[in-house]
Parts: sequence; structure tokens; C-alpha cells
Amino acid sequence: MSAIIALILANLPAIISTGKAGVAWVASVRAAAKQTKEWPPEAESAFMDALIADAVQSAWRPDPK
Amino acid sequence: MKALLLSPLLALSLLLSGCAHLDKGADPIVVRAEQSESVAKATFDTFLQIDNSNRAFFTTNAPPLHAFAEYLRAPVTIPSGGTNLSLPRGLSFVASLDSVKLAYQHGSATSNALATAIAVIEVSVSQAQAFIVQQHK
Repeated sequence: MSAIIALILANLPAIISTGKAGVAWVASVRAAAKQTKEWPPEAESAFMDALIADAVQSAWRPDPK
Repeated sequence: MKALLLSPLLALSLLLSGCAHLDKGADPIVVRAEQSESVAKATFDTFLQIDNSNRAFFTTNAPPLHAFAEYLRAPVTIPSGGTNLSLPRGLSFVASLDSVKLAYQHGSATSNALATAIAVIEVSVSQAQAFIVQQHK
């Protein structure tokens, strides 16, 4: 788990300069670091739903050909 | 100035938060897979938001960064629950790791297969992080 903290510390300048996205990233990594048990079924489906919802976000759309 | 103030505070809060011990009965490799999935999704999101904030700039000034972003965005089709699901490649990496994790939990995949799937996704996560750090230097 110390690898996760090292990861955040190594990326500090980027986290700070990316603002909101960086803060969201830190929140996700911290939540992952605090995980103590396997996801229950509802967390599993919520994660997959979020993954599918991400796919339609503009940041995930390829450049137009 | 803001960054100078925030850096030590953020570092301190992260260090103080420490790392959690697993509950009894939790399978460490499953928890590790789920942590990798969460970190991968968040890292890819952050990386792609940076590239998306000015695609024209990155295409011209950081072609490898933009090329990697496009690599993560390229649609691929993966099997999911008996059907095929089209997802951007980066998200398909996460979904595939989740599938291997579920297969491991149901006894149809080995821990080696799950460890390999974790290692594979961590390569792409490391690459995205390297680009995030690089573009802020």
C-alpha cells in the first residue's frame, strides 16, 4: 500500500496543477488505499456502471477522423 | 504560492491517512485487483481530461502524449455477460481485469491469471502517470 502513497507523492505537482481532476484522482486513490474488504455486489455493479458512463464523456471520445 | 502551501498539507494528510489492514476473510489479491481497477479508472480519466483540455496543443507539442491518449480512447469490443460490449481501450482494460477477478472469485481463473491481469493494467497506468508528470515539467 505504501506504493499508492508513493504514487500520489510522486505526482503531487501534477495533481495540484490539474485542479479538480487532480483532486478527484487523489480522492479515488485514497479511497482505494483505505479499502479493507472485497466489493459487495452493489459496489461491483456501481463501478461497472460508472465505467460505462465514462465511455460517453467527451474526454474519452477519439479525435474525429 | 498556493501550490507551495498545498503540497505539504496534501502530503501530510496522505501520510496520516495510512494504509488500511484487510478485514478477515478478504482475499488480498481480489482487493488488490479492485484497488488497481479504481486507480486505473481515475488515472486514465485524469490523463484524458488533461489531453482533452487542449487536444490541438498536445497533438502539436506532445505527439507521444496525444498518441497514447488516442490509444486509450480507441474503441474495442470485449465479451461481457454473454454479449459484446464496445468500450474505449482504457476502460476495456479495467473491465477485462474485473472479468478476470470475477472468474477467479468463481473458481474459473487462477490467482496467477489475476496477478497477470493486474500487472498488465499497471503498465498502462504507469505510462499515463509518466505522461501526466512529464507534461507538468
